[in-house]
Amino acid sequence: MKQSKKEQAAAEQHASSFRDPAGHIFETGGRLYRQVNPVGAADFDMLLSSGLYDELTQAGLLIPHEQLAKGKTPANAHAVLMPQQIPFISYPFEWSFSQLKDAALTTLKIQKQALKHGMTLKDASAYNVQFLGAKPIFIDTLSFEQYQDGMYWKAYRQFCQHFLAPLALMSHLDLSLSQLLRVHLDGIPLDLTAKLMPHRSRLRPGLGMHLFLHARAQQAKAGEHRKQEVRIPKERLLAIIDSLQRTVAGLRPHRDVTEWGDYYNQTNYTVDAADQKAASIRTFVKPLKAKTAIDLGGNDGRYSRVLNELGIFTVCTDIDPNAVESNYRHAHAHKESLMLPLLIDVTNPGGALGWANEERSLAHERLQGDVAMALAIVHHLAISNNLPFELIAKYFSQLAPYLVIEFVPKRDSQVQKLLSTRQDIFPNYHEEGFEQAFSKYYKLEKSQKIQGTERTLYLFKRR
Amino acid sequence: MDYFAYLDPGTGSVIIQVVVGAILAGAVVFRNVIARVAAKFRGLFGKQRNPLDDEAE
Repeated sequence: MKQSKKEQAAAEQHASSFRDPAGHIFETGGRLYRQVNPVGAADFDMLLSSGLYDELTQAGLLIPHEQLAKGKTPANAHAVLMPQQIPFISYPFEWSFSQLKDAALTTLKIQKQALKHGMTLKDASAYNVQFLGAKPIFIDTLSFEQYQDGMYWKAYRQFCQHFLAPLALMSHLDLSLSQLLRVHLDGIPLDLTAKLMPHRSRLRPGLGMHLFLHARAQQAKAGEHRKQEVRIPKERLLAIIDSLQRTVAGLRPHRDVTEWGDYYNQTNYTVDAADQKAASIRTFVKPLKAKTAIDLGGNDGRYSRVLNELGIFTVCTDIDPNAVESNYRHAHAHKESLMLPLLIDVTNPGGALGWANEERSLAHERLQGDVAMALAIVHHLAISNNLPFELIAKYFSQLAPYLVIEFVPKRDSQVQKLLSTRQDIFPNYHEEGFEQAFSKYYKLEKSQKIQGTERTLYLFKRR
Repeated sequence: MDYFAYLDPGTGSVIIQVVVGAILAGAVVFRNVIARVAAKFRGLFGKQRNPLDDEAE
């Protein structure tokens, strides 16, 4: 197959896929492929021949793939896989408590199934799990290897750092501690976790063993680099996995309510106004024939669901962990396939992390949709965060060709609240100033006053 | 036992699996014993109670 220079360059190994010698991800023609190297051949073949692959894919636990015909694979490859594409790659620090918890339980479920088929997970990175809508799915087909009698779980440390530590911190201290995963890309160190956790949590058998004792053992053996002649009978290995499952399943999010948790009960919207707002969004967006959308500050996903009803896959971001949590729980319970709730702070989106700042890409490189939606957020950006309209317009215009945005004027009581404790340094904060600033990056398509409120909904098209 | 691992499993994280595995296996034995004793007691009470229940009926 002849490739243009551009395509050859594009077929380079993915920046985050360099650790495992068994294979790697590469991208070409806008599609992701997974190459299986000769080193990983035996384990990969066993995944297929043992029936584990069929069982896991049928259960929706593992990403299904097709295999590229032999003649089309590079000479150094045992096989090239075309996995089902994930619409949006998200990162563990962007997940709510239950998303991380479900990802952890999925990993453990897979490990148990693997052991039944004489295989085991050789890693347990949270980055191996992605979300297809509101359902977690394991994406690393090369994480499986043959289990040998007496084998310990090589991925135990990684599982505890990537899943158990953040979940324990989020459960016992504060949901925002998931953000430690932005700094610690290989999971939160267990000694740090043990220092932060309240003393009484030591008494919980699961946390006591897998976090506290584990951290102590790591510290005690920190200087030791001898190969371990250790044998663990399979039933004990299974008992460890069972215990991890019970421990994770027993964790609950810390304090379920926040400032914005019951936001929609205390907004400036009557039921009629909210319905009218939804209707206007529908009228604005329907003719655009959009397939994907980004909802910025989408709270519990109420208006993202208006887009879902139009068949639009929507990444619904919010800064509040409880809003994202409540959105995910709803989406999960209703098996919504078009909704992806994520914890993203628009004023400080994560990404550009890891080796060469390329391992985990920038949020706005991933947050690309046909439509961006920013409802009841512009006052938070412009007033609480002092962002000039022009900078807001510039950033939003990088995300999608269309923008549905709600302007909340100073007359609105929510803005009054924001201004009540500070100097009003925003002389241009009004409809005209807003339209003028946005017109630099966008063409105004439609606008609509929302009845019974002071607010206006706009549809902009990128210039 | 020595296995090839592409990530360092961590010496402490390997050792602790032996300890935790043993604790959990011990806990299973303990739970089984408790369950057996409890079953015996239930059996004893059951034997005493059932005839009464039968009589009451």
